[in-house]
Amino acid sequence: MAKGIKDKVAIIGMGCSKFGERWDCGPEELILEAFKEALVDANISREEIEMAWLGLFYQEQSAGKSALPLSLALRLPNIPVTRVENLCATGTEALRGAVYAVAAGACDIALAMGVEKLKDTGYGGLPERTKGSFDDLWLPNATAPGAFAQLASAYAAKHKIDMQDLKRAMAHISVKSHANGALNPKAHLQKTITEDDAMNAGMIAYPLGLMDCCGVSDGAACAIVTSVEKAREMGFKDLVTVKAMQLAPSNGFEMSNTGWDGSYLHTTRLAAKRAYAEAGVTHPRQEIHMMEVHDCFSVTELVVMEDLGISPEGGAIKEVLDGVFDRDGEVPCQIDGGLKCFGHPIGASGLRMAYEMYLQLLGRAGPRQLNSPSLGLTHNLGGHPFRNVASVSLFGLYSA
Amino acid sequence: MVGARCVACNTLQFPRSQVCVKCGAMETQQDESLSGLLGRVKSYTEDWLAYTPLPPYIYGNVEFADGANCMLEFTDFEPGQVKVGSAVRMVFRIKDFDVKRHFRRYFWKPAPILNETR
Repeated sequence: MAKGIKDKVAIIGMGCSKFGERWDCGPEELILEAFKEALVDANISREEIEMAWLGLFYQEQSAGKSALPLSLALRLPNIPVTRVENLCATGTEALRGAVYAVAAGACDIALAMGVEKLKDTGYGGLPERTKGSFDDLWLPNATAPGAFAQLASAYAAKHKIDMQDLKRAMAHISVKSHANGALNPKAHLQKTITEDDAMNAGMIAYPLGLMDCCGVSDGAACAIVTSVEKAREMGFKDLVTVKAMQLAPSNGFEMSNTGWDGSYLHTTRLAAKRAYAEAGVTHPRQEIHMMEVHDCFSVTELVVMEDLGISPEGGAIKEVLDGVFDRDGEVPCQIDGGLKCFGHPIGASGLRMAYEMYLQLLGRAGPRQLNSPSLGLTHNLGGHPFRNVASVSLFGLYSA
Repeated sequence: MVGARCVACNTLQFPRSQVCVKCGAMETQQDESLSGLLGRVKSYTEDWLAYTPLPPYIYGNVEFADGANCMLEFTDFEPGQVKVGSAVRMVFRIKDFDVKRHFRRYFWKPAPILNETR
């Protein structure tokens, strides 16, 4: 009977490039920037990596499909490389592949690399992509902000909340993330903002204003993983292990029929339950010390607090405004600045989130360091609230 | 605006598919039109970033009286007029214009019920 991934795999090295408008870099430069840091961290040579997973979403145009972009960029010694994609969970999916290979005993040391070069398009927002030939005939030509703005109108109506109160909570979320990102030299945006800045920002898709939306950025992040036994042999003492990695894609429930009310993320709830079961977490609010969730838009972070079972139903606004998720709150969220300050290079984000959890667990987060965290959660939501892929992962300190 | 009803569990759904969204039965769906049904707005936005000849681009999730659900571009609503719970009827309108081939493409859009005040 399978028992899941808990405490089978250790992360022995991680790296993260500076995120932002990296006009001077192609994907190869970003990959190397993250890779060099991870190699030094793991204290291994490139030749010791036996298999690799590459997370790359949009930039098939510049980097290309298949194993080749990573194999060529790093001149890997013809080891197996698999390119993976699962919308915004792409980076996490790359990690999942590397983790499973090591847990299966197929290899000792594996690399997971996520990269995206989104700034080369020359315009704001994400490139168009087809949704499949039939869907393009009837779906609206929705933007990402517009699709996620749907959550706001449905949530406010369901819980009978004045839209200004919801906007205030959304503003608090963005202010909080910027305060955290200001302490992070790798973030794209490192300036603080005020609640007024957020409330009065230009409207993008009602009710989301400019400060409710994360930006488009370039970046790369990576992880080197091995089994707990091998990590011990290699001399690592404090081990960060994977406690859970769960994924839940939509199957049509949200949209085809009237079962869903539009105010929450159905797949996030399922992925969270499975991740808690896999990791043996029974009281998430008490046991999880820190979270990196998918704040593509401030309203997404808000509803995710309830979807993860951290806030009670309808209770997220009050908890946000009470500072529960601030840096000095009960369950700090986006302690590195989140998507709001890093932007969202799609292939890299899942690994960038794991990177902050890893640093925090090892006490290496500098001015952002929380007080002895031992369990952190990362969450991705790729697609739209009504049709998406959700991932929930847990990372923690290994206890024998 | 043709959805489908599963004959095994009687669930109306959109779009028609090979596997029922409710009961999982395979190849049990029959065409059923939604264009005559009244709908209710479940969520919406007014999007200033999306391309449209007449900004803002207003769209959202519509629940049909008989149980199907669809995300659609709205029409005939003034900015600020749509609310969650607004009643809508389906009208057949231009969906887009192919500038290369000069085709007008039509589809159904939810519009306000005629006797609602603006």
